[in-house]
Amino acid sequence: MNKHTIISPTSCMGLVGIDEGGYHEALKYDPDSIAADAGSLDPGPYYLGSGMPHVPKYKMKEDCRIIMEGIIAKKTPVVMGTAGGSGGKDHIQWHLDIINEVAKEIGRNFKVAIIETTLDKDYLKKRAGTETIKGCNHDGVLTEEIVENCGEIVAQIGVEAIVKALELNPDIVLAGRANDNACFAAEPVRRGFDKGIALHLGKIVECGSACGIALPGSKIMRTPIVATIEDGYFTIEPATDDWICTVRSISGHELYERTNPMQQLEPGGILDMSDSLKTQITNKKVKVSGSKWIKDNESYKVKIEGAQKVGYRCLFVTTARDPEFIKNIDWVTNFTKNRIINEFTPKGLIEGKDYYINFRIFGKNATMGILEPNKNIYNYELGVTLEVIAKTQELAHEISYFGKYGMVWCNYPGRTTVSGNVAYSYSPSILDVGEVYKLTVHHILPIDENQSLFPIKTVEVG
Amino acid sequence: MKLKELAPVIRSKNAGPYWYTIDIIFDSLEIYKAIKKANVITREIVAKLYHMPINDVSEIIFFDEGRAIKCNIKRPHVSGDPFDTDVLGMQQHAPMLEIDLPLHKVIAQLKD
Repeated sequence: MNKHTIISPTSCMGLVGIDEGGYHEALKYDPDSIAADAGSLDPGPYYLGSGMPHVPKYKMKEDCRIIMEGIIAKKTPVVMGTAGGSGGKDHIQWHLDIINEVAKEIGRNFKVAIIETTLDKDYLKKRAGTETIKGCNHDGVLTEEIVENCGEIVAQIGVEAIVKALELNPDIVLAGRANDNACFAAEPVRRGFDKGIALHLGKIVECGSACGIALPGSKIMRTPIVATIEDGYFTIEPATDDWICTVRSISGHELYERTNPMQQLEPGGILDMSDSLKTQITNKKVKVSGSKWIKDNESYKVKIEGAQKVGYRCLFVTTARDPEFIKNIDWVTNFTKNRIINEFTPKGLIEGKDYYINFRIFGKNATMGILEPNKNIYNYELGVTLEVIAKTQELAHEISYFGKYGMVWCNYPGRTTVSGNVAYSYSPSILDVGEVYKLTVHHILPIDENQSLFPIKTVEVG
Repeated sequence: MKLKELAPVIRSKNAGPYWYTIDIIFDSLEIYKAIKKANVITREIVAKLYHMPINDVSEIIFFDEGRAIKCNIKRPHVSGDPFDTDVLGMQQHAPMLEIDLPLHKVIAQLKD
């Protein structure tokens, strides 16, 4: 077991695509395993709540094919984490169906070990009712009511659950919600390499070539990354010569999407990188050592995630060019909102409970909301979108229709136009855009160390 | 002098669904060190810039290896909530570009 080479073909399956030429270059390094994640919570709660993927199917299929052809050539296990984007049951099925289609099209068979990470809600309610399940990065404790109102709840699994699947000797591990770093670390850890080093490797390569730099003239937008773990350290380099990894490019990536570049909470403990040392060993290759695993001796904890359905959204998308309208935008939105409330309150529909009204003013503060430091509008044009969220799509549509006419024909101060206050962007002017979710479960759950919450089954595809 | 004239990378992104994280990465080790020593990027400055209570702004993290300064700010809305304005948090860095650094304080540190 003196060394173990891993390929990270992409930052996220189905998103930007794998450079196939670069991947073939990576295979020349004679990899021992390949790993990629297929999603996260980053795109927001909708995908987990609805069961929908967050990437196009054709692109996911293309990435699966490129990766799976690599398995055939090299007999290396592949770990695909956070199946289908969010790792729920529908996501796993969608991802598995694509793997199956690819296997049939390339005329090969693969053994797939599937790790389910969905938690039973009755079990979770019982836990929430009898112990304190703390929020992850927030102060809210998990309650039975939150679990009851939430959609599917998944746990983010770590190295240990993936190792159990790898023990079944599959070609592919398809994991539900999984920690990105663990997808890379699991196979080397299973083969006896240090967990701290392996997870640090995973942390750096999990976003593919985001840890590298394209040299001027490089024609590819992304390149696969090759990492090799040895006793006490790992090295990291891009698969192609038109990219490089440097101490700084790697350090820069350690900051990415994290509050703390020195320590990171992982399933079962903490990855401590505060004593890690990086050395440039060739123009494109960096050596990293000194990272440590600090096991949580109290209990093995995982993060759990779940989204609750809030309702259905309608959008009335408009633009405005009239200077007096732009000057009076707050007057218009207040008038329109109050008019909606006055219409629907007597009908027993309470704003903020039965439905929600939101204006997005593009050109004012649509990007930063209350954090926007500029309080004045300098634009000659604004985008004005009225949003309504209600329990049904029909109700959201009815409220939007009523709201629309308030906005379009209200008499703001200095109004010279009587034909209509805004330009409609579309016909139909009110767009039904479907379900809205919010994240309600983002908590830390102690589990038993042998990972019995996450059943594994194997299937043959092709 | 504006921060954007000294740092080639100034970016924001979600760090989980409850926080935005802002990274300022320098090319020059000397400029990074001078800005760190001059103490011209502080929690107070960031809180004022974003009109936030200071408790919603993290300590400033200096990451020498990456020649980088990091600061985390609490999201006004959880990522993807009905009233959220930036689901992935990729456009919350803009006010940082305009931080006005007292150049004499930075230069004083460069001379040392």
